[in-house]
Amino acid sequence: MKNSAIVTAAVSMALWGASARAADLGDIFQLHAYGTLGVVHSNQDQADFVSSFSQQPQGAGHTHSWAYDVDSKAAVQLDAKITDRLSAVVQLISENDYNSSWTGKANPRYRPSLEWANVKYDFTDEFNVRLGRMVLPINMLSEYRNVGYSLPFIRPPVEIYGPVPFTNIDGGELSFAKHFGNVTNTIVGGIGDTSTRGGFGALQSNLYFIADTIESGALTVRATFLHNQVHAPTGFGTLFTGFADAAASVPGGDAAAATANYLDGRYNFEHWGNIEHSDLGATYDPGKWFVMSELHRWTSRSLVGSANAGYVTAGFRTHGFTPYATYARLNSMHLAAPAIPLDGLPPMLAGYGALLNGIVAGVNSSSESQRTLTLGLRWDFMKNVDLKVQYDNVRLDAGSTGLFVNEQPGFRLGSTASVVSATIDFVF
Amino acid sequence: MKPLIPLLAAAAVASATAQAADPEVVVIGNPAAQALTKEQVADFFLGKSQGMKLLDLPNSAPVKAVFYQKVSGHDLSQVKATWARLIFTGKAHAPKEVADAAAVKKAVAEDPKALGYIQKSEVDSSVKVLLTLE
Repeated sequence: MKNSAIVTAAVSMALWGASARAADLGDIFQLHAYGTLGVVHSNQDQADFVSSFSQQPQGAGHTHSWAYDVDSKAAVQLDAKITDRLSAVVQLISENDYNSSWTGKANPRYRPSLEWANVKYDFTDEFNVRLGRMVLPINMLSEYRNVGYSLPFIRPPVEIYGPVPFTNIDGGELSFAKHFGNVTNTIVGGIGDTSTRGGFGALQSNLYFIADTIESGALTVRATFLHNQVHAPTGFGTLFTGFADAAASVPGGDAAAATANYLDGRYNFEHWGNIEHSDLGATYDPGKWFVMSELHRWTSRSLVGSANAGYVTAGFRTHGFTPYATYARLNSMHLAAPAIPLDGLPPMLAGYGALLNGIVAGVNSSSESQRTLTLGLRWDFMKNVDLKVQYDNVRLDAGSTGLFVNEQPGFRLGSTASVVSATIDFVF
Repeated sequence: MKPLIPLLAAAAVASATAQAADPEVVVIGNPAAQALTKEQVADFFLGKSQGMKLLDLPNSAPVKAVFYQKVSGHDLSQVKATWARLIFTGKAHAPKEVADAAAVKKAVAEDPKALGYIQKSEVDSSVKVLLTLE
């Protein structure tokens, strides 16, 4: 509620400020839209291929052999330049995402949600502050990952962009740019909170981040560090603590109780847990060809584990066509955890403890590790519109479920899937 | 003396052909504005620097494609993609599209912060040439 109030206040202030000026409306307001219409086919029919592992409830493969909802989306954005220094932006997006931005609760897919609504004040041309709901620049392409027209590929590699559930934050950010001859360095720091309901369940998050971008001619390099404190209203409840209380009241059960409490602290999201993200990306785009690469790492001692991921993409442009290829890789891992010692416990309590050990072992042996090889072609056939076709070969590591959702009983871990996609992207 | 005349004629034909193939593009601003380097112009027209009010011609104007190619090495759809990235994150206000060179000249004459590009042949005394693109 508090965040909606801040966002509403920011937007109302912006609109009031804009309407108070009697100048040419076209100079103050700009309306933009972007969207993608896409279709995806996956030959893995025992699970769904999705572009956002944590946000999309269904995709291509099992639910639909040919799915429109993996990539199709549309958004409108209103920009207001209220004064020379004050501007505001509101963006609404409609996509296959069961996260509602209005309430943080489950949302029918494709219901328009508020992606950003913020006010920006320029202290100088180089130094500005932004307040309200804004993009969370956790990855190199985060800020425009939904704008198909601005990307060389159909979707940013899912190995990096799939698992992260947060796309925006409510809070504030400061941005400072400095020009050194041909080189521009921009530092952005922000703090805020966000909430999302996705594949991990409902999550609330407090976070801060710092991102630095260096641009010089055709080269852009960017590094981000983000610290995320995450919490869920429903996690394991008293599953572990109930056992710990019982074990503590039994002679010789202190070690078991202590271990169970430790595991509760780590794996139960009802306690705030930390996830740290670091990202390093670079793009070199002299015009006729380009290469882009990004490395991302997140670490946590929690249910979501840790991961290293990366990709490299290259392409060239000729006569309105841009063929491209990508190699992407995700290694997911979990920090080891001790097992609850069961020796000497009464049989029923030992059975309960064994169940808890099984849960932890199950989490720690789960893996989403996979690699994707991509080949695609983009065609800019008319102004503001492009067509893309793309082939992805997705190979899961042995024992991995990959970034697929809706796994069916027939789903084989470690399998390989072929995914073909076609999209039309537009901007105006 | 005589060999010079065919040579001069050839030079005249050559330069006329060159002009027809590739209009010479200049960046113009208000008479009170300062001259700019190519890097500065590229930074403004690709959204990397803020602070100026940018004017674009429609895609149908041939000088637009020539301008962006010379200043950034990018074609119009790449430029659009670059701007899309900035607009859809609220980082920059898109350049304002005006109908023709006359509209560009009128806008820069009225606003010391306005920047535009036109063919060199269309420059007049109401505007100042801030950069000539080779």
